Amino acid sequence: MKIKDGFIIKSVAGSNVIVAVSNPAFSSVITVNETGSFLFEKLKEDTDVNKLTECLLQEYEVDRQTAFDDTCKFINLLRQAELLDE
Amino acid sequence: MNTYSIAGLLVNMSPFGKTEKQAEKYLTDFTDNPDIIIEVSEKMVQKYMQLVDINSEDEAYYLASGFAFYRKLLNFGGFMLHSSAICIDEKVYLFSGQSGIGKSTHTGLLKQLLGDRCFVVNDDKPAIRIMENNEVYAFGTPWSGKYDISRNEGYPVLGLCFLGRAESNSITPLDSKNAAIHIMNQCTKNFTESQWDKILGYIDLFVKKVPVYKLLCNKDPAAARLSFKTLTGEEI
Repeated sequence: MKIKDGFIIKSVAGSNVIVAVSNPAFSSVITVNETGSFLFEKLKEDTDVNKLTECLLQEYEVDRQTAFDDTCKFINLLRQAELLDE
Repeated sequence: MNTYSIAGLLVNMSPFGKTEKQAEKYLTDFTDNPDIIIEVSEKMVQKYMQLVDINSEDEAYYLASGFAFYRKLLNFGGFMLHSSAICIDEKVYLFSGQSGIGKSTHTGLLKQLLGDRCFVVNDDKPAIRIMENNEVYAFGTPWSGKYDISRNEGYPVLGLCFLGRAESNSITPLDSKNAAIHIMNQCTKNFTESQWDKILGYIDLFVKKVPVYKLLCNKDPAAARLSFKTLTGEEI
């Protein structure tokens, strides 16, 4: 899976937001936390839940279960917003 | 092409119908070196008719020309915020929120209470510009909503409220993070990456300079008294 082309992450007033580039059909603003922002960057390349969990474990001091849960939660958010190519 | 003075900028365009009528008071005799040239092709008008599902070329031109103006405004420190902008004692207060939430109703209540002290600068899509010394201004534009309430004037912005409906009235400050997201939700969002960088930079500055509130309210005059008191510190 990876992030569909045409979506970028930007920061405004201390928040990270996912917005669409030149896409009149997509007018939502999705705010993400630091972990989400980190995962978004990783999702620019084709990857999967297990690889993303490993990335989180390397970057942050969390246990495997939390990293896995956070990854799944974020993936579900992106999936609901139809931002994923799978 | 006609030349207009809009939001302190010289704008060339050839509007017709509704847009031409609403732009009349912005006509200017200065014609040299326009800051902005708005060209809306027949193809673009057709595209807008499809996009927003309308069957009037007049309305499609109004939307397309407005969008072109606000997009180019990004090059002059400005953006559009979907709101009703009321000027009270030469200061502007903005009331924003989704369509139908009661923006014009609320500024209408303020007008009833304040009479000659106030007028609406733009009832729908004021141009917000970051001016010298990072001062935030709101300007009237011809793209001012279905009742065409606008003035070709600009004033410093001293407050912004996001409206929500409730049975009783309450107002609470929004922190800058929340304020920025609320603002983004009431702006157009069809931007290239470099346009995003610009508008987000302006929004960043805006929330540093202007107090932003969430106003939950009904349609009683008490709602306007509450927002007025919070925004100006003055009782009416």
